[in-house]
Amino acid sequence: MDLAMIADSIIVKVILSIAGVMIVFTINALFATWLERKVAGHIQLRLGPMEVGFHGVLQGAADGLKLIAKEIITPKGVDKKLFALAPYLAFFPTLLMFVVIPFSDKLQVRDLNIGLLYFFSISCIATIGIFMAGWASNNKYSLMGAVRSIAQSIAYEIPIILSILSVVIITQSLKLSEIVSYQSKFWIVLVQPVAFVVYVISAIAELNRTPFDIPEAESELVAGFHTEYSGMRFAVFFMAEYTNIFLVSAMATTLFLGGWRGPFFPPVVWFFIKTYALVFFIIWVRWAFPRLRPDQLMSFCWKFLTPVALLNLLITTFFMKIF
Amino acid sequence: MNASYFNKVNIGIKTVIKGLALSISYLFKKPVTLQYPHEKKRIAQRYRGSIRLKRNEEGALKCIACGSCEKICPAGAIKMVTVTPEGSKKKQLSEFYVDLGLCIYCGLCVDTCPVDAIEHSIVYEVAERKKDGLILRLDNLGEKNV
Ligand code: SF4
Ligand code: SF4
Repeated sequence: MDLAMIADSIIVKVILSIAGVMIVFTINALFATWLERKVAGHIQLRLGPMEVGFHGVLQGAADGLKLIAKEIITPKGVDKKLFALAPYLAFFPTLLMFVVIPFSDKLQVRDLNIGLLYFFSISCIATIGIFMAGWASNNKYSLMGAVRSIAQSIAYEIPIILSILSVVIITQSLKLSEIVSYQSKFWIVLVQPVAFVVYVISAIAELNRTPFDIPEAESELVAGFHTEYSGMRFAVFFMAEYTNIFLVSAMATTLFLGGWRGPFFPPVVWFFIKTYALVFFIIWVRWAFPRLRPDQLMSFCWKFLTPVALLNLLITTFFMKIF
Repeated sequence: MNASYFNKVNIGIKTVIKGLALSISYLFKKPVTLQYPHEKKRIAQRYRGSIRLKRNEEGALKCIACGSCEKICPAGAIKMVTVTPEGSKKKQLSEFYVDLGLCIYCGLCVDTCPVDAIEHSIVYEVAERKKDGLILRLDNLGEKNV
């Protein structure tokens, strides 16, 4: 059996894909948490982590070790099975979402025909995990957090889908590789700036991050749905959150910023530069704004974001029909 | 859909941009953090740090063992043992304890001393692993106090 055949065999492909996804996932979890703490620190005129490794780069690994070593506590009165299952249900969709991300022209686990649809449908499963966690915890703060999270997800799913629909109408494809190759001359953000802004805002809301972090508002709900979680189970929620930040940024890069296209550097490098620029932006927003009230959050979505996205979609459709 | 709706949108967009600009400008300012164990703050000379006994030019303790500081200490942090040597009327210190676990750094002992024999040093890192280590004795009063 020669080398080409080995590389072609399905098992090798699956193993390589899983390994690749795990590597990206781990490095992102370490790097994004470090970046978050550094940016947070410097915006508040602090330094952030400084002790473990050069300027604290290994702090994430140290924290991870600490969380692994901790006892997993299952509080009295919780629904044990759901309680144990919830973190993984919130976490595994994030790994599955990696499948369709085009890291470069060749580096993509599966180039599905309906890649975009797949990505956003899988992302919804995580919400079930969050609700499960809140429900199983048998704790009013957790439940409130979970309920808010669901309300928010349902509300912001709509502008997200409307904004990516505008992209789909332009590119006439749900296949991510085709959307990237469509952008060989110009980035879609140039013709769809409104959709891009709507996407980024709703993505931040979907991620439950400040200023839309009412599901885990510390000052009112302790920590929202993961109040009762400790040790590795908490770490799993935490990793899911940071992986999701990476994923929505990666998707925004693919849809609006030309994907892996760019001069001089290899495609993968361009992909990560663009993605982490967006990750940085999302982190920056978190440390710039205070939290919204739940009613403000809802009226912002229904009275502003959704109409804008809808109008943008109508105009896009109109122009596509004419030209 | 009235004017106030668009007004609000306008204000919203403006404040969002303002907030982002402000926070990014802070990102490039110099942090104010003091990396404490690595760099230390300059302490003022009048800082009320841990207690120490003063010595005169010959190196002998200035203390005349009058006991005023022991009496006035509101926290009861000072304990002393005195001896009166044969053929002498003057008392002498044989032991002097300051329990830093009790001391509230009020400075009353320093104020009350008739011969100015006791003072605050500027030492503030007095944490110890054992409670016993917090008690300063005659032999380590000089050691712990710079
Ligand atoms: S500083 Fe105050 S509390 Fe401390 S030993 Fe002197 S008198 Fe007592
Ligand atoms: S008040 Fe001064 S002289 Fe009197 S015992 Fe205390 S330190 Fe010594």
